[in-house]
Amino acid sequence: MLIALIPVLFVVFTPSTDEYRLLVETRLQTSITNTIILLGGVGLLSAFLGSTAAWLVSIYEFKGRAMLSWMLMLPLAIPSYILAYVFVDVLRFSSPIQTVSYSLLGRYLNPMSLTSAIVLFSLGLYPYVYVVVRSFLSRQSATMFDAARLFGVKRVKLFVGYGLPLMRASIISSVVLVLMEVLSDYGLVDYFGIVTFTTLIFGSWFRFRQITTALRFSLWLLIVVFVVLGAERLFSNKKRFAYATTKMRSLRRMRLTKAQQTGAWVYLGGLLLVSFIVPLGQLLVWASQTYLVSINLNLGQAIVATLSVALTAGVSILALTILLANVGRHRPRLVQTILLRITLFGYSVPGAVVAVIMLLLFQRLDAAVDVVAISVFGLSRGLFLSGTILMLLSAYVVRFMAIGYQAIESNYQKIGTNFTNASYLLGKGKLATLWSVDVPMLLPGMASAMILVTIDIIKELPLTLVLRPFNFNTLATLTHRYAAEEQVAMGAVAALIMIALSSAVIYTISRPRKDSGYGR
Amino acid sequence: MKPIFSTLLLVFTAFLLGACQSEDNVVNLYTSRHYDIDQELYDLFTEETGIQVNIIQADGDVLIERILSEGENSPADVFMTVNVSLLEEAKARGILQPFDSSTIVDNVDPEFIDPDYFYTGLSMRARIIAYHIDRVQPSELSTYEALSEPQWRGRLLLRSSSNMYNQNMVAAFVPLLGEAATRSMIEGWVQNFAQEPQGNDRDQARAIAATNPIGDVAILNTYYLGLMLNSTDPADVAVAEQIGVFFPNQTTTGTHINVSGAGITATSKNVAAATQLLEFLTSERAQAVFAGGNFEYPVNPRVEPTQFLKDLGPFKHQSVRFSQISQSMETAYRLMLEVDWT
Repeated sequence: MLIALIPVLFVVFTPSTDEYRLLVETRLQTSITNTIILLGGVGLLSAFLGSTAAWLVSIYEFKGRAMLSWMLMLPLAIPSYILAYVFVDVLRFSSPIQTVSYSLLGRYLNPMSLTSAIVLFSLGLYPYVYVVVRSFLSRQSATMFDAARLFGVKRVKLFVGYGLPLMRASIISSVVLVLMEVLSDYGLVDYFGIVTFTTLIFGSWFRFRQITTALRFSLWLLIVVFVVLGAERLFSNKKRFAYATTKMRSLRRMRLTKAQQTGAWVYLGGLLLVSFIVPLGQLLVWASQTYLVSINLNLGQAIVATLSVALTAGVSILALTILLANVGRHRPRLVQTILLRITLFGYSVPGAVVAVIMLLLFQRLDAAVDVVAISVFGLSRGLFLSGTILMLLSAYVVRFMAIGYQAIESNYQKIGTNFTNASYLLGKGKLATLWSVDVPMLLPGMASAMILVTIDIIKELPLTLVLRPFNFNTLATLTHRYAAEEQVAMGAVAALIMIALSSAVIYTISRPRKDSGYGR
Repeated sequence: MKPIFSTLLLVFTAFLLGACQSEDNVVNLYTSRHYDIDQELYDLFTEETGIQVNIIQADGDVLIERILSEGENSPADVFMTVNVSLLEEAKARGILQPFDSSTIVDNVDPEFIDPDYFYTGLSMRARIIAYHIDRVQPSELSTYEALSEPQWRGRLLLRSSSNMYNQNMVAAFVPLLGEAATRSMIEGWVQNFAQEPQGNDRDQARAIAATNPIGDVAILNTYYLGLMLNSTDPADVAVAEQIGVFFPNQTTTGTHINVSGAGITATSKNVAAATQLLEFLTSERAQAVFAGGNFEYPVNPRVEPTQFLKDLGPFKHQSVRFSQISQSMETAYRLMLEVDWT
């Protein structure tokens, strides 16, 4: 990964060009304004939706809670550009909503405005916050809540005065993931005609043929990311809780009255309705119109391909992040920060940029392998790794490492180093400690990391398109084939299977279980 | 350690042996076209010749980067895109080689073949003026340039400047009109925009057809209208039925076209099969599929376009050298940025 960074760092030293200056003059201001509004809006809205939902299902008991609690993760399964197409169709000019809007406001609601982008991103991405915060809350000791309850703290006050400060670190670290996802998106913002940083990157790369200028803008993006992260560290640095006792009772949920139950249902159900059920319904309508074209699609092969890359890369990322986080947490804060930032690189720049960096990296690797092949076996193998599935898998790892790392590391912070140190004192080795002490305590974090990473890979598009081997199709690439030609309805069957697959992943990892601390 | 080492060695050897496989009956295709009819065409080709077609489909820009980074060892035999300016780009960057086939030359209208034979066109689409059949009379329309006049203030719909079709179109005007006139034309367009550019070509048509319309005219590709008219979605059909098609610049420079095409890569290990694929794709059999399934104009003059396009009638198209379009792409994008076309 460090090697992958080198070409980007070189860019700083190349002289800037006229095209770079033109883009800066004509587009930079708009793109910065739009990016800030977009990030601010999505950050606040997704934090609000995700944390309130996680709080409700973790602290309170009500009918159907267990089911809602895993269903609220489902919007993760829908790629943001699909969400965009669905809502543009739901808000078509002839729709009832638009008719009402026109008679009331004298104009149509614009489904492709910046506000609309903020809402759509938040609806699709709030589960990041939800998943991380909920897994954090599941590790909370009941003692603190009992104390608050004893004093008869009111519900809203409990959330604002007690819940928010407690959840702050996990909200912030998950919102960072959401913001990275927004920063690297190109599909939705391009469709809506919103000028952002990615527009600058692709404009300079594709139109001006200046990959260095594109990388330069990517670097700008990284600086934004670091500023955001710096802010995160600033906020979350002050308080670091860690368990000091092994007597950890999990939360006993508070009962809600009938009226409050209805309130919780309206809120959570409404959220689920707009973020998942409506898009699902629209896709089903499309599928019913177009299912015949899907027969030629080789869907079976795509399902196998999608699942195998998502699971292989998911497990690799999980293993790597645990190792990395484990190395990091016994080191000074600075080392941890640097590690985190390196992993974030792949996540915050557009996928196509990562793809090209991976191509360059594998080209060098192959050149090295070739030297060995010629000297040992006396024949050249040509492209040994490039174009293989290995290239794609490592690209996934580079891209999504940050998600795993954020999820695992926030868990580690919670655990602290007390137990691990105790294990060392008892003479256990590092690996033995990792396996028997850390891993069991990390399980909730690992589960959320696995869900987020796997589903992100199932949806992944730009890397898969460019780096895949011959005749390799995932469900995402099949869906995209039609969406790219403005025929998203025809990709509906592939999209539905993709969503079903992601839902199955969510269900398997976090289905309501009576006996485990997670997902209850 | 030992088992790990021997496993690695085994995998390594397996890869090396894999290299020795014969690949005569395969042609490797990097394409940015993603239509259903394409797969149909490759299947027909395999059926006819026994040659299997391996495909990687992604954006043309990034495919060029992939071929370049793979260098001499690139497995690609054929590079195919939806717009010739990328083929020109590929040619200029040295990743194509000229084909040697009288069949292709015989199949394709010479103006759609690169003069140096580095690539051939495969299909063509016209970028026309779409108008609302009740609110706009065809007699009010004449040229692309005229859309910058004040009578269209607040009535013109165009998608964003990041769109390849728009960039190609503006680039084609640079050699035709010169930089200054092209700039004032698109400056007028931007002033006439009915809304900030958003959505795709179909969304422009939808904005014209809305009960309370956003705008009255748009510039878009013919085949989107053909696809909308034949859509499974009744709402799309209703939109397309309200849209008229006008071929602009008939008495002057002609209507802008975008051409999709393909060329053989410089590093192709299987030039014979690659040539066969291009010969097949330009043949009457394949060209009929291009025309029928996707509402594109065939480049083989012996093949007729589909009924939808025939009903639109014949038209005069722009004749700008593809190389000139490609060379003007940067200027075009610069102009679009300068006039603040979102």
